[in-house]
Amino acid sequence: MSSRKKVLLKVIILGDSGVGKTSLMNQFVNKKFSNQYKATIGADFLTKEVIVDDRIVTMQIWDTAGQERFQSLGVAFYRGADCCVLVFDVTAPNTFKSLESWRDEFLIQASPRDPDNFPFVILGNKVDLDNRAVSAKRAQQWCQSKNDIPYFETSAKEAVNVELAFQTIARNALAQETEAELYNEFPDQIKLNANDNGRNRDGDNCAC
Amino acid sequence: MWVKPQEIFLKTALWDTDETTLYFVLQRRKGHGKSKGFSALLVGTIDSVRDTKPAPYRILHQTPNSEVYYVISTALTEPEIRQDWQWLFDNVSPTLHSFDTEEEVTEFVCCKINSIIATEQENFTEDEDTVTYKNVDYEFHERFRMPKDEKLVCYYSCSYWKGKMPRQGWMYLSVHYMCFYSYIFGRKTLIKIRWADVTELAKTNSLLFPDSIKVVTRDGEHYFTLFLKKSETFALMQQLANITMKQLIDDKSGPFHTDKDLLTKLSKNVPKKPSFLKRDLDARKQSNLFTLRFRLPQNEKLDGSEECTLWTPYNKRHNWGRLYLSQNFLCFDSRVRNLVRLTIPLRNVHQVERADSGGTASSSADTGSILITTAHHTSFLFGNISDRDFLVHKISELLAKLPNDVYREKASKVLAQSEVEGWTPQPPLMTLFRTHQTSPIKQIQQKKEKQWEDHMAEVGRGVSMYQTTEGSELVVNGIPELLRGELWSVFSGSILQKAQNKGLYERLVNEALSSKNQANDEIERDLHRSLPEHRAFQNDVGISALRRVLCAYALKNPTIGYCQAMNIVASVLLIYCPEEQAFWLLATICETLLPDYYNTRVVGALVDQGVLEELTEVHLPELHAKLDELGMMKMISLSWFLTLFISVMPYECAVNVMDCFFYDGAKVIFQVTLTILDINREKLLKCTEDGQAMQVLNDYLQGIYNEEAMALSTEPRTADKTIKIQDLIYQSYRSYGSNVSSENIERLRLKHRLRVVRQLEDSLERNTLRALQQDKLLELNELQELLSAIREELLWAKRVPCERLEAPYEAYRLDFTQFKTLYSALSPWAKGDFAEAITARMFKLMDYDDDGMVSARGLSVALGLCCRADAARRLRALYAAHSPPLLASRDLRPTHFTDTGEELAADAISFFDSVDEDPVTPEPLPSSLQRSISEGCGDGALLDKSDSENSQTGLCGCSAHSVRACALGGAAGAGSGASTPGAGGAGPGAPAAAPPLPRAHFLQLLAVLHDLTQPRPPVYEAVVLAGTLLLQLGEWNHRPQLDREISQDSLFLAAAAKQPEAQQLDPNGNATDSEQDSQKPSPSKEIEQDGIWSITLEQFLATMLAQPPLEEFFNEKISILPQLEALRQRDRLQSVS
Repeated sequence: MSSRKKVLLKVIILGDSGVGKTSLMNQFVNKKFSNQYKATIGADFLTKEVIVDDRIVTMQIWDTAGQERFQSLGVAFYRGADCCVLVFDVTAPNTFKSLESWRDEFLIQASPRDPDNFPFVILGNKVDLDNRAVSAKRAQQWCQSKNDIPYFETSAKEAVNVELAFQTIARNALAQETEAELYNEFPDQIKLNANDNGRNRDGDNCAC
Repeated sequence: MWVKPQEIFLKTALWDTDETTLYFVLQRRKGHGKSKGFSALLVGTIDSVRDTKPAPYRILHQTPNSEVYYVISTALTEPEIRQDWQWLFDNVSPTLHSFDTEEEVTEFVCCKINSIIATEQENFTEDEDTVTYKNVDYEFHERFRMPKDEKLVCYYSCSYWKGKMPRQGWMYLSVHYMCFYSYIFGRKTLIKIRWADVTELAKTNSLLFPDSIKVVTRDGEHYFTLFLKKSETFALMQQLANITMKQLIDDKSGPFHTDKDLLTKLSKNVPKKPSFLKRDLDARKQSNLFTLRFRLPQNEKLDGSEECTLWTPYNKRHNWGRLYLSQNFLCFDSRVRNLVRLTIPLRNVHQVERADSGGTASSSADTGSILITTAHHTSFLFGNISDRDFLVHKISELLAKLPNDVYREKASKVLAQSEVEGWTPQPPLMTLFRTHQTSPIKQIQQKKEKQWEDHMAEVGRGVSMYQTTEGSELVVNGIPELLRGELWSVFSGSILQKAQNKGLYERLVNEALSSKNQANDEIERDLHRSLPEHRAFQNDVGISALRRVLCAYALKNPTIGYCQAMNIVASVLLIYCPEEQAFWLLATICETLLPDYYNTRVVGALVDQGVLEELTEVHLPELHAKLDELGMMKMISLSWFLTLFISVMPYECAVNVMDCFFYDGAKVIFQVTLTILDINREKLLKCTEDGQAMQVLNDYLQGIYNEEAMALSTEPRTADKTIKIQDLIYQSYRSYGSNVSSENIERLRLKHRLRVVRQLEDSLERNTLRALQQDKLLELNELQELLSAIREELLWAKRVPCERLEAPYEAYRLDFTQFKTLYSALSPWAKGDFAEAITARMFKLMDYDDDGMVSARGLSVALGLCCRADAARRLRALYAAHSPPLLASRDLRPTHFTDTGEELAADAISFFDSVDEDPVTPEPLPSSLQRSISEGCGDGALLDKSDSENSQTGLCGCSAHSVRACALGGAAGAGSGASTPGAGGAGPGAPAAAPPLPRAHFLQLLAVLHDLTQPRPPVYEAVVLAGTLLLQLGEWNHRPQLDREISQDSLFLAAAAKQPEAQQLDPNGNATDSEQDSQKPSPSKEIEQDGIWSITLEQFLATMLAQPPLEEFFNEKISILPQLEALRQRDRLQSVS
């Protein structure tokens, strides 16, 4: 990993309307929570520089509209994504059920080179609320069934796990990026790294 | 001149024959030309005495063995008739030899002549359609094998380029198709294209295809040329294609309806049109332009227009322009663009007088003037009306037709007041949540208010104000905040909607708030995410008002329901307008100003993105190339357009854009967008990726500011200032005001709508195919063909509203008739005597939610099951289709089938009439049914009512759902097609239990099997054998033996079935416990055999599969491609030569 050139990672946040995509993005980038966001129409984005394994990378985070009728319009934004973050609201089971279709839609529209190993990260948001309806175990199980997608339980409001989650996102996205660049040399090693990270984090966060 | 073929019997009297051929005779009237003499003189005399002036030359058509002659052409001069004669000789005669009979020759000649005169001579009658049109219509249906209800709109002579050869023929335009037919030199060209398949229509002019119309479909390109009326043809094609697209967009719009009111309309000069439908369509187009221009409600129909002058008191001038009349409005637009525009609702008209007082008026204006006085004592003077009496008559007629709603208003008020449930409509929210305005801002606002007051003193106030150039300048400068609500309503026309629908808002709110639905949930989630920076929406007052407006609209217009972005727009409307006005403004935006923007697929916004892209390419080509390269062209405009810039620039600036938007329509958004792009051109050209470009635009938009208004915002505006909103708007008018016109945008929208709808349909189709492939039954190419057949079928029917699509294939939903058409054409099972019955049962099997509709997947699975599935699955499906409750006892129909070669005696069995069952049962329900009973079973039993009911309830223990699951049990992934995380779903290989079949049901199943195998004697015999075994088995089952268990061991069962002798001793394979349990002890009468006579699925499968010919028969893989091909031939024949 000697390359010192500037890296730009494109991250797409998807999920049903109202699960907290915009809040998560703003919590991560601006370190603040506000309940004064407008519903996202079309798409919005923010950038942040992070350091991953001694490398400075710029994360370009694209926030999308959640309402179903906008789902098919995402195509334009998906292009060239390095990682896809799927968000659901732990108090709203329907938003959890939609994850599958969001994932499918993304894979179809973005058509990444290697769909089976494209990095996804799942975030179960709003864990600060009392009326939880999707158990960590259920979410965990689903993530495992989908080729071991890393899963985090977050609260954009109280900044729980947000930093950690986005670190993982950056790392996995970078792995994907590097893998693309160095595909012929040592793909396996990097892939293993990425997966290990994901799994460890899972264990840490979700044993609750 | 060609004439409509007319029969005559005498060929010679009064006529001399000049030339004859086998089929044609050329004649001249005696007394003309060469022939002199007594007879000529006589004929001349007769003609003059009778005052008939027949044309002196004519051509007759006759076949050698016929006594009847047809006049097909007449002419006044010899050269004329010779020309026709020559044409016949060159074009028609050569082809006539190919006909076999003389009748055919005559029919052909008559048709040909009829079609020739169609465009030349339009003898319009008071009937709906002309006679010639009717002939062509008949021809059209015959040639293209059109369904009866397909309506021909118009037909044009033109040529079709087939390869490098133009083929002269006729283009037929109908509601759903465009067709072409030519028959020249024995070669026939037939083209049939559905509008729904058209992706592009264009007028082109290339060396290869000069001056032609290009039609692109998914299958290829077609060029038509040599039109007599190219523009008219093209416009009609565009209109028809768009009607189809509109139908595809708007799932709720039904089939095309003609407007019969046109017939009764009082008109002065009805244009001669070949078809009534064409007249209708033309009228629609006119009405569309009219409503668009004057911002009238969309259903307003233009009645007529008239050149005249309007006297404008503010400058004391007569202005030439055009007066338009519709059912509810009288409008005027000046000839000089934007000079003056006026709308007078007829309901406000108080008095109409002829005003030829002469006197002072100087010019010619005092001839033909009328003075219209409105209820508010304002007068409008129109002059120079050429036919004043007609106009006055017309206006009074329209006035008489106005609904007399004075009483209704009162009634609804009383009703509404009693219904109001704890809410009062809010005034403009800015009046409740005031901010301290700095004095410079106050001064500016006051100055503007003064300007407007002065202006309105001159031009009037309210609906019927003169909209003048001066007014539009004031609008561009920004409307003062206090007047916004009022002026927005006037300019947008929403005030008219509100006036026409008094009390509707209150009713809608009351109903909407008390109902619970998905739209309301979505609205609830977004209420606090609309304009959160404004204090009004940090407070329940504003939030509740917003909730009411959005919920009421979702109820009013279910096609749209609620779409994000509407909340943002509505919240700003609420700041400036009283609640009800805000509601009607929102309605006007959604329905008129931004059509289709907010529907379930945001089609309108996509269409306008295409329009913007094209405009950018024209006006900013360099930038267009750059943005296209960055992949941004598709995404920038979405939020700008959907929220009228409110979500991207400070709202106190966006409202200035809205001022112009309500005044000038959607063109304003385009011109502002182009200006923004233009201003940022240099920066954008330097960008290397999309994020960077987004950032440039975001920074710019956030920095737009408005010094004339105070933001009612709790969040300080922090962005670096970039441009004053007034400057931006002014610049947009200067740069693009005239280049980007509303007409231009409408035209581009027509063009891009074709493409967008095509793309949406394609992606829906792709997704559907992907989903259908998961069933792993039919091949991909079969599915593709099947889907296009389904689409074809659906084209004829009203589309079913789909509230929320769980899966893509749900978009294609077939009712029973449609299902039947396709299934019976495609399925190998729908061939014999039982075709109808089996189709109905498969439909029921696939109708998962019992709503009388089956999705595309249902049909594909139904076909897949009978063509591809293995024997066990096919049999299981058959079994399930015949088991209760899917096949209700009352649906059992009289069937006569032979078992072991004998025609069996029928026992009358009276069935109960149940009323609760599915109302969509496709078959009539006889109350008493006959049915055959196998002699092998011995005793046919008379089942009385109570018994039958008992058995019914008992067997209904298995739900329809589980039976269906069982039928599909083997389908890979069928049960979990659209599975969700966590929801494991009934996996494959775990087929749910199917109930045992009662005897009546089983006999039906057996009958079907007999029917299916009839053509193959060995298989048929196997069925007979297996049937006999099963009947015996059923007999055994019915013996009361408690505590039995069903063995799932089908091998064992198979063995048992193979040796019926041994079965007696075999305890396995009997009725289920559940059946025994649920069987209520029957009162009085003993339970006859039918009560518990049963066959289980396992028994059925094992017995059937034990017969090798049967297994082989049901394992046969059948391709449905040939059937699909045949269907395609029927529906979409393409050029056949």
